[in-house]
Amino acid sequence: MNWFVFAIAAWITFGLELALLPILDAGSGGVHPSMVIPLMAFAALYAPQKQALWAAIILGIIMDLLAPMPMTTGGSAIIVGPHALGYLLAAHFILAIRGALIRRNPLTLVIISIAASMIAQVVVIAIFTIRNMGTNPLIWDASAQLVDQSFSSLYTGLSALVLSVAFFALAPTFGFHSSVPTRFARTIK
Amino acid sequence: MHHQPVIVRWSMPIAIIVLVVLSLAPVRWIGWTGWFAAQARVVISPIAHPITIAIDTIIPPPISDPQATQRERTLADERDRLRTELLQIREENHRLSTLIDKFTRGTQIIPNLDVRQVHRPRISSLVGGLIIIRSGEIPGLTQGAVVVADAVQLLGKVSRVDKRTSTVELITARSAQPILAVVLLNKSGSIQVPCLLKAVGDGTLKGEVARTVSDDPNDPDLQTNAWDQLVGKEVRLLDSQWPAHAQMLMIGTIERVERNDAQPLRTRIIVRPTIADLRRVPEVIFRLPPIEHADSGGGS
Repeated sequence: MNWFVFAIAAWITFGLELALLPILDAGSGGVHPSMVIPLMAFAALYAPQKQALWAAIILGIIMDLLAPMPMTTGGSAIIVGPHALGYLLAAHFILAIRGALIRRNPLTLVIISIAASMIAQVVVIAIFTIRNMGTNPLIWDASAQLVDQSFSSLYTGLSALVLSVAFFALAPTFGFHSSVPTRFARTIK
Repeated sequence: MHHQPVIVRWSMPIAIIVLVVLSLAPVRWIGWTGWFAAQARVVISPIAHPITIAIDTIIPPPISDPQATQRERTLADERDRLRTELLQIREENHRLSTLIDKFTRGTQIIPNLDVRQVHRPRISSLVGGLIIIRSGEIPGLTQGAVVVADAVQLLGKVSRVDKRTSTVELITARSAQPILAVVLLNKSGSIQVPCLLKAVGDGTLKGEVARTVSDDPNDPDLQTNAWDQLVGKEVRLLDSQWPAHAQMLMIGTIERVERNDAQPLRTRIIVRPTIADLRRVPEVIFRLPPIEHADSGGGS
């Protein structure tokens, strides 16, 4: 994988993620599509295993850095790890099943993005819920988050559909050279 | 078999262990992550800000009165500012009168209401009702500083300050603390009803007001007990948790009134800020203490 192209793509998707947040907000303030997860899913579909996992960790760490958590004291805290671990598990899930997928179909990216988003968000919510069990320094409502993030995951399918056009068009520039054993056909180079 | 160096082979498990530890570490141990967050924001801002400007150009943020000319808007802002000052002075007057009655002579009771206003542009929004402001290094800008827009519309409080940017937690953020406010029942603002407002998460705040028995029936502006008349009334901040200079800033107007069957004597109000979407304000105003206070480490 060409890491320079991946970095540029990540930079733009994070910019879109932040800039489009108030526009694509689905009314309740917590439901919005992710632009980053389709990129992570795209990398996990095509890149070699190790590179895909590292890409997921890097995207997750940046997401953690850009998502301060409000605290009961009035400030906010930067918790590095929850999104990184969530994206890592989601990428691992995609790597495990990608041999059975029709990877050139944009709908594959849509479905995979929804599933990956749900997995990542379950991990994020679980981590924040566990860490908030003791002294409760963070303002955190797990049930509300679960509802919001479930709808956000479905909404992410829409952003994945739009972004898939750009990703598939730019696929050669990413320089993926993975040899993925497929389940029903010959190995895709 | 392809052999890799030990560091490469173990890099992924080590990264996972570090991430798990960081995820669960107490907040006081991971303060240093703020520096990395600031760098991440610096890197993302050059792309997020132009996209935000482009989007605001294509889909202009809703404004209070789209028909009004620029001059009319300026005059309206000026009127709102003067009205806020009047209400602040009246509230301060009332408070001081009460204090003078209570305290012995010679006690220092007059707070310094001087405030320095600093305009800064918004870079972009974050998840959870937070916005990033390109603040730079402003003396006196600390966590908890009051942020407004359009002269008197309360936006929220600064929740984090970095070297180049600041994060503002909006009053409409679901994580924001409840706010004590007053509903101005008449135009002069002399008749007020207190309420406790909590952000709903959809850009509005919800609270309950009690039916008061002290309403003045002679006031022509006041429709006593006509709670439907609450719609459109101004709601302003009056909360001791906020600095003195923030008192009587505009929170919004009552958008609708709901019956509360569980408590018939209390009416539920839904308040919407005068700016339809606080997350899309193009610029904000920090209300900060004067320079000499900031230099001595005094907060706002």
